[in-house]
Amino acid sequence: MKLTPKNQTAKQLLHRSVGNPPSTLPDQAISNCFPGLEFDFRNVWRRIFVGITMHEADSYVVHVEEQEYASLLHCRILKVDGHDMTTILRGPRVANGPTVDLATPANPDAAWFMEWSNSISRVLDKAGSKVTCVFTAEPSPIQRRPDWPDTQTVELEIRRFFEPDTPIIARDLVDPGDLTQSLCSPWQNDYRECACYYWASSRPDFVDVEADSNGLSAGFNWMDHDRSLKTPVDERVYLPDPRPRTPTDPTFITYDQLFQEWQTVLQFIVGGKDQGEE
Amino acid sequence: MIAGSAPRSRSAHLVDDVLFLPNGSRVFALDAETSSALDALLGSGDEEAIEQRLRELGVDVPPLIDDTPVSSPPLHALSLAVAQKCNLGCTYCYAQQGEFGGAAKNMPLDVALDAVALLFRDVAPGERVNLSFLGGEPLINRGVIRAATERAVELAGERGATATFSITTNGTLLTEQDGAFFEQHGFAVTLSIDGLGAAHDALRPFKGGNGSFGRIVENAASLLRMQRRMQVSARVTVTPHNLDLRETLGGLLGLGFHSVGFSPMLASPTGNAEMDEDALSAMLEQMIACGEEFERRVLAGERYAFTNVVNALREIHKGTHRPYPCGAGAGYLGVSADGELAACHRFVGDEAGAMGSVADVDRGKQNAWLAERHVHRQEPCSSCWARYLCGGGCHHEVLARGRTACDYVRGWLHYCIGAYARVLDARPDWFGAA
Repeated sequence: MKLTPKNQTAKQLLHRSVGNPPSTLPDQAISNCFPGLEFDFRNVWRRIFVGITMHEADSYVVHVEEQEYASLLHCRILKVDGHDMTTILRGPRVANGPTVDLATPANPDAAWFMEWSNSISRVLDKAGSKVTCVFTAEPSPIQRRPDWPDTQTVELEIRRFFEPDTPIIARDLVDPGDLTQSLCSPWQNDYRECACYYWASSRPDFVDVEADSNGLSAGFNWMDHDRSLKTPVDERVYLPDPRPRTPTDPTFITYDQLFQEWQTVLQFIVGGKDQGEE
Repeated sequence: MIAGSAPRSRSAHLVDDVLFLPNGSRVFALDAETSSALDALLGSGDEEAIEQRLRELGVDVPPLIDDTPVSSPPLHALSLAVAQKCNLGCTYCYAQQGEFGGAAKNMPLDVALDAVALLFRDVAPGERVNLSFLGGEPLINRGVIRAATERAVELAGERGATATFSITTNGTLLTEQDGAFFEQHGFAVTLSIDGLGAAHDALRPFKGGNGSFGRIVENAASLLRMQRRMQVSARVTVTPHNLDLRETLGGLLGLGFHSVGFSPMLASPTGNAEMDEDALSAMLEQMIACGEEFERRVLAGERYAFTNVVNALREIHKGTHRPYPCGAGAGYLGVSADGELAACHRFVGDEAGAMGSVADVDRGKQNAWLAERHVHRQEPCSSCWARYLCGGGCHHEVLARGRTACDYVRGWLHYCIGAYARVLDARPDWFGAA
């Protein structure tokens, strides 16, 4: 060991250990955590109630640890400490149409679970104490509206989010490995599926980038078939998927190509440039 | 210590086998071989080779502090010069016996309340602000202290904010009732005491010439007994005439002060009692002796509240790096008895630090001052490894007398970096509790 970081700035943020890639530094990190390429932050909410496990992005009780809560298994949570956990999805079905409940055959109540971080933040100051929680009386594979009549009420303890007086996520909230569950799976469909706005701020999807004659950035979508470095910079265009360059041109790498020929259609990108091209 | 702490590179400094990097105030422990090679490189003065070596060690990062000055910062703290008058006649006083070179005056209540209103004007729920009372001797005007404090408590309640309070006093006018009030509001009370008995009396006499130590100790005793929420600390201004810091520190902590800190007299309006090179060198020796006693006590599991080293170790542990020495002129402003704003309590009545009035901060003047005072604009700071810990030194002292204490400051920080590594290794729990 040549050197050992000692204080907080040396340890926490800025020390890149020998052998670690630049992406381990915050200014180079993918910083994508919802659901994420690095970790899936949503998993912090699964054990927010003592005794049961929730779905990380839904009102669904996936597991019950304590027998006294056995009746909650596969039910839907509707209210916590008086706050609705779901809402009614409303809006126009067509442009300029009337605002209606957006029910579907799969979701006849038009009920929509509100994202945990925002819903639960209103009661996090009650961590360590029990709060009144309302669930559907019966298991429910579908979402239910907050005023669903057939309910059961239990008192559940909310776990604290942080270890006391630290910025560390409480140890009993997430087990080792929890945060890296449910990541995007780039080797399956997820890279192909990521809309451009979903990409991390470091934009690994924008490649062969150089300044054009106006001083603006010009480059290619990395899934674009036609990303030759021989293309003059001023002609390099980032096409958001799935817009075709011409109506018949298979602009982007297809699913089949990605699965079967990934090692051919994708190149290593080094220094922002496609490799394997003179 | 002064020779060992001299700047050899702007990018790195070695304290034995401990590497300090100004960029991010990062501290690393090195093995002996790496340390010795780096020491030789630092001795060469080849800045390019030093930076290349840092890259090889994997510790180079983009500069964390650029040339951009702080601009229109939110206000977090105000100090009110509630009494620009004093019953002591300390010859070195930056406030010139309390009056800042003008007429003796008290701050009227409406000015104090306007200042409190300004402090809370943009405060958001959950934020913390500090209101401090200075002078002169602030307790000459205790009615205004009480009213301003109560108003701040009221506004903090309305805004869902937290108000903290502090006062710096010469201690001669303190009463039990003051103590009860300070305890009620959790004040940080700082008493200016320059030594034990005669050493103090020679520097801080009443205007009539009598010593003030006996009175202060008598008054302080009841506060020290009362302190629960409040913290009663001592601050020692060090001159060439009271350099026995080790004895002073032990004596004042023995009296029950929550903590004791030292500050050298670098610029006095009369030039009286200013520290010269020899005195600063003697002070550094004493400070290190106090620091070593601190280390012994901490390793033995005792509390030993030597403020200078406690603060330095905490800041080094966090890796504090900043382009200014303090919050003066930024989140912290001073208010004169007339309601004029100044860069800090020392600039009261001084056009050099004028920043508007309690009606509003003069953002133009403030931003110009902050741009001018950024450490990247100071010399010889740009080549100094300590620049982001020191921030360029007290604005008031530097503007009055230049940078006369760089060797002292570096020597002290050099010691503190070493002490940090030792305490961290031996008592990592000290930082957890700190």
